[in-house]
Amino acid sequence: MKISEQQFDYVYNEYAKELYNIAYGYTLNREDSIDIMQNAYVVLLESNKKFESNEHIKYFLIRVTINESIDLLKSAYKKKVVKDNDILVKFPEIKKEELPYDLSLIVNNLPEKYKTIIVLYYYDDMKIKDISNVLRISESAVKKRLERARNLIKEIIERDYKHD
Amino acid sequence: MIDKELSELKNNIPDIDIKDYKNDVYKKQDKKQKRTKVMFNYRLTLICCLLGILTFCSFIIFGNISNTPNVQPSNDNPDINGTDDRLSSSNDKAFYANKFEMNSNLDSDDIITPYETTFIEFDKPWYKIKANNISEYICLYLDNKVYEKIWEVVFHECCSFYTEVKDGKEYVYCNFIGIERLKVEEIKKVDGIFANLYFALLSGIKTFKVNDEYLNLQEYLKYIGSDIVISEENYIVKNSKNINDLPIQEENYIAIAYFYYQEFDYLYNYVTKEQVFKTVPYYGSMVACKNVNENIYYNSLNNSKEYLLMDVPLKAKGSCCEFFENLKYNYTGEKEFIAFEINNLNNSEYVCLEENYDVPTITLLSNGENYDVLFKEKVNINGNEYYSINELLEINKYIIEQWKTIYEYNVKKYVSSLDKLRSIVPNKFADEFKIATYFDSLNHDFEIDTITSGMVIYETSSEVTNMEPPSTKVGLDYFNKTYVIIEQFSVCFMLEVYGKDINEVKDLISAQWVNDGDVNKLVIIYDDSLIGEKVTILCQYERKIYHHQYTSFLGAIIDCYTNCSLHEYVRVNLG
Repeated sequence: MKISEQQFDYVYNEYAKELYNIAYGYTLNREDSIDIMQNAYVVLLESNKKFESNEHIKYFLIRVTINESIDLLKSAYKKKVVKDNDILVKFPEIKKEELPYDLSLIVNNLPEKYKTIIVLYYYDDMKIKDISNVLRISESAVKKRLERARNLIKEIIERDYKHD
Repeated sequence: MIDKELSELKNNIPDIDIKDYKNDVYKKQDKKQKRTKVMFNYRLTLICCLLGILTFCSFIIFGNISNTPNVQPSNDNPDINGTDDRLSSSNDKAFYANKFEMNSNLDSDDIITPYETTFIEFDKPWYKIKANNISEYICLYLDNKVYEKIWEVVFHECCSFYTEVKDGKEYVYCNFIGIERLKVEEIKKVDGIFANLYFALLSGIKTFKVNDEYLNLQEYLKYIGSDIVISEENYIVKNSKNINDLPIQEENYIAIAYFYYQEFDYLYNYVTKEQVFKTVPYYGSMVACKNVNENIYYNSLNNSKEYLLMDVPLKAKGSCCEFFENLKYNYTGEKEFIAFEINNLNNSEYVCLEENYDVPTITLLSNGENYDVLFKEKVNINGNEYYSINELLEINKYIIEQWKTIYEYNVKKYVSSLDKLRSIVPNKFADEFKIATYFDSLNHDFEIDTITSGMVIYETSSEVTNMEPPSTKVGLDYFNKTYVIIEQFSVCFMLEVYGKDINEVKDLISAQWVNDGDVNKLVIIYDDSLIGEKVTILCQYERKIYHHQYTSFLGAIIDCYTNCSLHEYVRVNLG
């Protein structure tokens, strides 16, 4: 069942920004994020799925956004990501630990399941319960992943950068 | 601190006015629809043209042949029929030559550089595959409830087996062929080599680069110290020293690499001489969980030891593991262990499960002398010492990366080798399994014969639906349709659709997948849409899915394409 134009207007106005934020958490690129957000809505428009509520649509859109983002990141032209190392190659006199760390890049390089949690929680300010609904895992699992993701980030920073 | 910094990340997001991009959504939708339509029309036109050309050629060729008797012989032009024959012949040749060229390209023996990386570390012969011995059959008592699960295990462990019903109970005699009891200190190397070997067999790769020298597979095996013998003809792999001991020769294909990489950690089953006899990889689903105390034991006929065969869902420890007696569980700061003491054993044996990794592995440990080598890190739980499997898992990760590289490099070659593989694998195993029930149950108009021969279906028990992670084992495409994809943690299937537009198929699959509501992306990792009228796409899901999701997903696909072949194969999950 296709959604009505009116309903589309509503869900677009309500959720588009959120989807953009989520996509940005993945791509760190404005244009890509807009693209992904739009793609998510295209999928929605073409979907025959029966939605029970706007919230249901929201979860659906978020899932699609995550999928699209992951897909984009896996695509060949996106594989090359500027990292600290590029700078280090150009400026060999700089030591890695002297560079300020870029948290968004660190998040971006996390394993997907942790990245997803971080993006949803921090970029989109989603609540644990909502994340749990989106990802279809228990709330405790969300919490645990979140904690592990934070720990992982800490580890990476401590390992690769010398910061107080 | 980190939390605060993370909270500030969203401040870095460039601000946009969402309304500016709303109309683009509709434009994109239009564009997408047009593209699908254009592609469809294009393909339709192409097919029509091809058919036209073929018809025309046929007309010329066969028309002339059939007219030949009516043509009066002419001394002025005696070669007229001969010319026509040559024309026909050359056309045929060109036609087939093109096809052949295409296939031979796919099958070419390219040098696979990733092997070099793996191999260089191993500069001398290091492992042996011992002679197989029939007396080493083990006997599995199969309880109905866990029948399929056991089959799964059997196939992961055995290259040959047979069944017998005695006193109303069904026994499976399972022969651990070849790879037995590798030494602990060799396990690292074994992983890499076996991964290579299996993949080599799967993909038909015959050339290995070792220290700037090119070796064929047999030479390669010799180089690494294996006494495996491979017939180039049919890939039969035999143990050369005890070839006559093998009970049924044809079953000794090296499992058609069925122990492909995805299950490489089964190798850990053999990490010590006798103590660490069995490791059950973590599958996520645990139909057997509740039954484990009652039903799932297996006995080694040699020494009558009992081992617990278990497959414990990591996250279900609260509900599932309480079924185990003498549960030892502790939370030791950074690491979380679950240990089960197995009853009725002469020596204390434990199952340790370390949860800090995404790829938990259950390993039976004992007081054996060898595992110190592998398990360096000791953890004290309630006064007992346990060993971390960190190292093991690190190896896991390394191999996975290796494998991915190899896989990506070889995907076309691999797929093209499937036909070859299929042609040499005995079909008789298929009868052993419950075939086609899966698609029957879907009540779809689907040609069972084309898809399910040799397919083993594992149904998930409803009892475990509340567990996490859920079952993901939905199907296994066996020998005669061996589509084995080397991707750990994936559910894969191959869909062949005839006369359809590849984009249409892709869109449909993607849409269905999204509709199914999982966050995990369906990745289309291969398509041969350029090769012919058959659209073959190979998809994978990157995470566990619920059985009913998968069922519904496949159902939707089948609904849309009744004239297709759908090959499922392995599942997997581990998430």
